[in-house]
Amino acid sequence: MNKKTKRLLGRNEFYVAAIIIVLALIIQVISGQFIAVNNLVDLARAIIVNAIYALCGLLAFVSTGADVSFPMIAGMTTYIIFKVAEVTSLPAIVLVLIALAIGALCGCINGFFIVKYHFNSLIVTLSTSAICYGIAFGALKGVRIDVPEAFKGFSKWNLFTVRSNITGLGAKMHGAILIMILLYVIAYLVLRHTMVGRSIYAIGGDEISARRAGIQVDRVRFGVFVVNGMIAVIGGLCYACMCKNCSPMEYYGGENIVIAAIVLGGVRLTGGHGTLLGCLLGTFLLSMVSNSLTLIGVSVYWQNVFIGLIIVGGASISAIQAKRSLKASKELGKEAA
Amino acid sequence: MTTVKKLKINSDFLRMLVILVVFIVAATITSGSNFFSVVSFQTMAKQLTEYGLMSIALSMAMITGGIDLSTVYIANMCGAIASLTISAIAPEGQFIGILFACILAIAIGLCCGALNGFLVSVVGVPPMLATLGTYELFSGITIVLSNGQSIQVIPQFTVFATLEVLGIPLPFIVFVIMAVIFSILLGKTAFGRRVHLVGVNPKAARFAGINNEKTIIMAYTLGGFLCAVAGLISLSRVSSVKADFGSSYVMMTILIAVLGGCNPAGGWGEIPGVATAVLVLQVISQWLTAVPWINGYYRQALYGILLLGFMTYKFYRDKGTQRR
Repeated sequence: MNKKTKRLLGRNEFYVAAIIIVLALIIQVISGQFIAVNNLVDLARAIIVNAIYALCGLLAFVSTGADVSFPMIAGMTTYIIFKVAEVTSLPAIVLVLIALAIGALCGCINGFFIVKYHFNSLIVTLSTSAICYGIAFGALKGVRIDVPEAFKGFSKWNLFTVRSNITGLGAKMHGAILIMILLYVIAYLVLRHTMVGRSIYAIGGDEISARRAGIQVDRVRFGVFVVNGMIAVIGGLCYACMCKNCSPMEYYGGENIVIAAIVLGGVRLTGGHGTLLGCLLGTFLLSMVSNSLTLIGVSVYWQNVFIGLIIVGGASISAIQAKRSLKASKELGKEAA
Repeated sequence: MTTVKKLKINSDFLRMLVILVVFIVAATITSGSNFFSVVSFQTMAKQLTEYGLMSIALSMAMITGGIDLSTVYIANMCGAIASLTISAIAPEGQFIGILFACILAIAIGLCCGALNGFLVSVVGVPPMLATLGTYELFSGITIVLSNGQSIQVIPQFTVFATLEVLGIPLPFIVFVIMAVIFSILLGKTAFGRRVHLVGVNPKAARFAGINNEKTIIMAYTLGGFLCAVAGLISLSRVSSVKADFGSSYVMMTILIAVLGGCNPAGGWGEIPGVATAVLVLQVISQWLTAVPWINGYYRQALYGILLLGFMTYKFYRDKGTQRR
């Protein structure tokens, strides 16, 4: 029992959950609107896309390092697909497959440079991001376009509508949340119960040991970036369908808040650490902060300041924790010797 | 060891110079005689100063084995603070008020850099994450200060950017002076040696008696200083400042640092190479503006391709030298 509580207290997720509860209480006391049904549904709706992106961030950070290309891959691909759908009358499933293929291709470029040349993943993904940006805005003009006919059905797919007695406001839950849940279930099963999943953690934790243990480090790493490209595209399509239009500009710069979220959730940038639950909690906390600032009467201009403080604070805590655990394991090693 | 290193510096620097000359010639031929006019030189010289200074700041962070994504936002924040201070204490453009505002902005730039350095070295946050966090923080502070609008500066302040000495714009002179100072600082002094050693091998640096934390904090603080100067110059040139001004510079500064011979893994890199790379990029960018069918957005894509291509080229070149 004692050991269990100790383990619980040592986990990042515990603190994030605690912060979420405290913050929720504060917002509830000040505004009285936090636990209104519509607010909760709005919050759930707000985390869908970022939670999907958070999967990309998690996979990249756990196995290799930063990936900042997913928003622009998503933006460019969604835009291309919407354009294609406008001129042709392909069924939605074919369009989605094409989109996934484009996403995978972008992921291949990332993976190729990172695996073959061992370049810093931040710089490689920044470059692909810039290339996607150039294609989306330079070659394709990058204006706002409406959801094409093929995706109209998905775009209007609401699971349920709620109306709160407290605020009198309604909120709709979009069907995309099922896609998010599905992706998380798949990710959970793969990361937890397959060789590939365990390899992803192993190569991030200690690449040399992983190689000696017989893991195909390069293949796993390449695969991670290809899958990242595809997950990014799914997130991008969901975002565009939820907004009922696509403008690549809205995707630009979306990586910061996602990275902030997963770092809060306990993903270590040095690799090998990070959980799906942490990702979800981190995303939820950040969405809560940005959604609820207006509820408690703080100007929306303060949003970036808060996000910045959260990144710096969260990263500092996890860095200090990592240092401490390193020290502890060193001392343990000394005692053993 | 020293001779090898010297050769490497020179080769990076020389290669960039050759590329620069080739590009200028190519650009002059393809875009007609108006490319190499005095006016076009003056616009180029004015524009490059801002991201040139930021590139030097980023290069320093990169040499210590880190990266600095917050450069642009430190510059914007310092610009905003300077602008607000000037309107508050010297609305008529009194010299002493402007001077005070500039000193204040530079002091704040130093503090921002020191904060980055502190997070990276003492707290141990990975540099990419630390500067990503501070980048959100600084841009947030700028948004709060400016209420999300762009801040105008009094016209007297914009005089600075239009001044010329023998036809050379003053901002460019500032850039050259800074480049020379930092070349000497990183290439010839004990501090520069420490910065390089910390980047090559932090453990060895520690055993050699170097205070890694102090060195890294110093490097980032000096970077903050350069960003503040860049912010003041851009405030003077554009006559206004906005929280997200120049966000494409982030990509550009990284490209410049890598082109100039910095190794993103730390340890390698000299300022003369970086400074020449700044000139190369400005020539490329100016040349692209002269070509009508290439719009501004392609530039980003081109920078991305250039960065990947150049890193690949260097990978093969280094492989060759290692074998020998």
